[in-house]
Amino acid sequence: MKNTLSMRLNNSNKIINILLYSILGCCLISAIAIFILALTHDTTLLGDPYYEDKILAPQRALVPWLMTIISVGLALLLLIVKRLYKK
Amino acid sequence: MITQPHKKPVVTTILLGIACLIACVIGIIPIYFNKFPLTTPDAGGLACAADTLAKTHQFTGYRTTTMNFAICWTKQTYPAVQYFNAILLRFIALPSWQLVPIATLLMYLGCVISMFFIGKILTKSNWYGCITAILASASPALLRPLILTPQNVYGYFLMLILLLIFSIASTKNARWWLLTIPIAGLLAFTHTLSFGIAVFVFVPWFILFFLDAWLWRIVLILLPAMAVYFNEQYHFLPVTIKEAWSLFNSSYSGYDHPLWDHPAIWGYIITALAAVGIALSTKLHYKIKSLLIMLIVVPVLLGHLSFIGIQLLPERFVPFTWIGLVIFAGIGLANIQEQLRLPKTLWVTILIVLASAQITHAVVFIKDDVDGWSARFRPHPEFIEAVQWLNTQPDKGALLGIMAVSNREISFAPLWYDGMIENYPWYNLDHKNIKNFQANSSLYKPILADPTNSEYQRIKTLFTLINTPNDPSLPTALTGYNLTYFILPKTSQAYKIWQKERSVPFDLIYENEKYIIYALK
Repeated sequence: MKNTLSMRLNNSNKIINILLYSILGCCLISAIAIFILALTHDTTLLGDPYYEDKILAPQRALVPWLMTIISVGLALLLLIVKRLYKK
Repeated sequence: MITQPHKKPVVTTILLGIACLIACVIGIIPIYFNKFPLTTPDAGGLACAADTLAKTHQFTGYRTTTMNFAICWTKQTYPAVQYFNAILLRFIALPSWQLVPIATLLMYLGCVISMFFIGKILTKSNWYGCITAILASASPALLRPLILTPQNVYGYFLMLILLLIFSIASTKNARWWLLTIPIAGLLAFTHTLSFGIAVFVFVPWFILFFLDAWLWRIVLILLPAMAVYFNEQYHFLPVTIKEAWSLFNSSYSGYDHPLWDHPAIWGYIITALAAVGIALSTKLHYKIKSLLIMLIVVPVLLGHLSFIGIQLLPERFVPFTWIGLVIFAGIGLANIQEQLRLPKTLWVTILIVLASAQITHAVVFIKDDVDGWSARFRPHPEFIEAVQWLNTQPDKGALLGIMAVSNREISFAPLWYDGMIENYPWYNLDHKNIKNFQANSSLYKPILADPTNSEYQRIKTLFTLINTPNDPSLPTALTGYNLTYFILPKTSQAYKIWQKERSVPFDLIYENEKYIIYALK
């Protein structure tokens, strides 16, 4: 019984760690992309999507946007894993 | 609660100092970019109003508008913010246009420090409080009002004080609940929008999530209902339900970007970390977690009312999400650290990279705002020179001036000025939609929907002039509007269109480095 619980906790920890490393990786890629976009001196890329501007974030800053969306997806997975192993 | 990697007060002080330093540097950057302390007409309106109030003890009655932006705020425009700045002016020997940005920056610092205390109280961790403060100092949604709408920073600050009191009262001492009443009143007097959002977040949370007894719930549903009833009768709050509802059904509208586009405003890294924080914050008490989630959900919902056909400037609501997001982002970062247990040097490096990227995003975000907004409200010297030249001409007929400053704003101006020019239109012509008369602008939708509308005709004539200057119907159309001159910025798309035309049937009468003036008659 104890072994099973311990195995489950170990597995959950492994999965959580993999997910967190992936999110951290996404954040770092996002950070590098932000630095590169900032160096282009085109402020519209990371700027304020002003209300009449129909050019949306993915068109302007694809990499940080995509990394954020992937991170949010992975965080959702994290929540599910956490809930599953809690039971 | 989250583990503290350090317990030394000196480390906390240094980290909080870094957060404040980032806030100060970021707060000064717009002034540097703008080469002038007042970055928007709102700041100018406040400076002028506070100056009048300090000198005459009277609110100013003077109000000039440039596209609805007040040049000098009147009694109706954020009187509490005016009082605060006027009091400071009485004690600090600075001109109002220098004092207003400093006072706004102090409020901004107040927000960062409040976030530290909120974080510290919620998690009992100085470390987490420091992370929250650092992320708050680089949050684009908090920085935006520092540049555009200083009154919002005052609203944010009071809202955070309210959240701080909620945090203390719900985790430590219930007597603190009494303090919420004067702070909520002050918030209502200072900034109605923040008060409205605070009411929508805190009241339902308190009744539904905080209280455990149904009797209290019923009593506390009746009390606000009575407050609403008496407010409708006696108007003791700045806005009634009827007025608020009419605002929601008015023609006010703003950008309505899809939800997935919002990380651009909230900050990419903050959004990603906040998602981790929401997923892993199981150690937070469910009551506190529900409050923080409501701080995210309510502004997002209010910002998407257009889905059910009612709309009031969505972009005014969505940025309020930063409060909940930043708190969760701090929790997310602290949880990642706790779970992964990376070597200290590697972890510090990662933190520096992430924080620097978030600050970089915020700085570029500010620069875009400064370029896109503030510069538009400051006429080019060349434009003033051109207008001054025009005003010396014997024929002072109607004048059309178009200013091109940034490159992704509203397609074109539907208005022009008759007689002597005192203001200048601030739309530019560089938008990608310049070739499309049916511009995407929601501001013009009601006008563009009716081709018989006289305003539609005026815009169409202006559009024809810009886009097809050789159109044979143009001279006839122009005579209907007493249009004498056309000021064309050389950086505008209209200028490029006119350059492509082999010859335009108008005389070039003036030219300087940045502008050209054509006589239209």
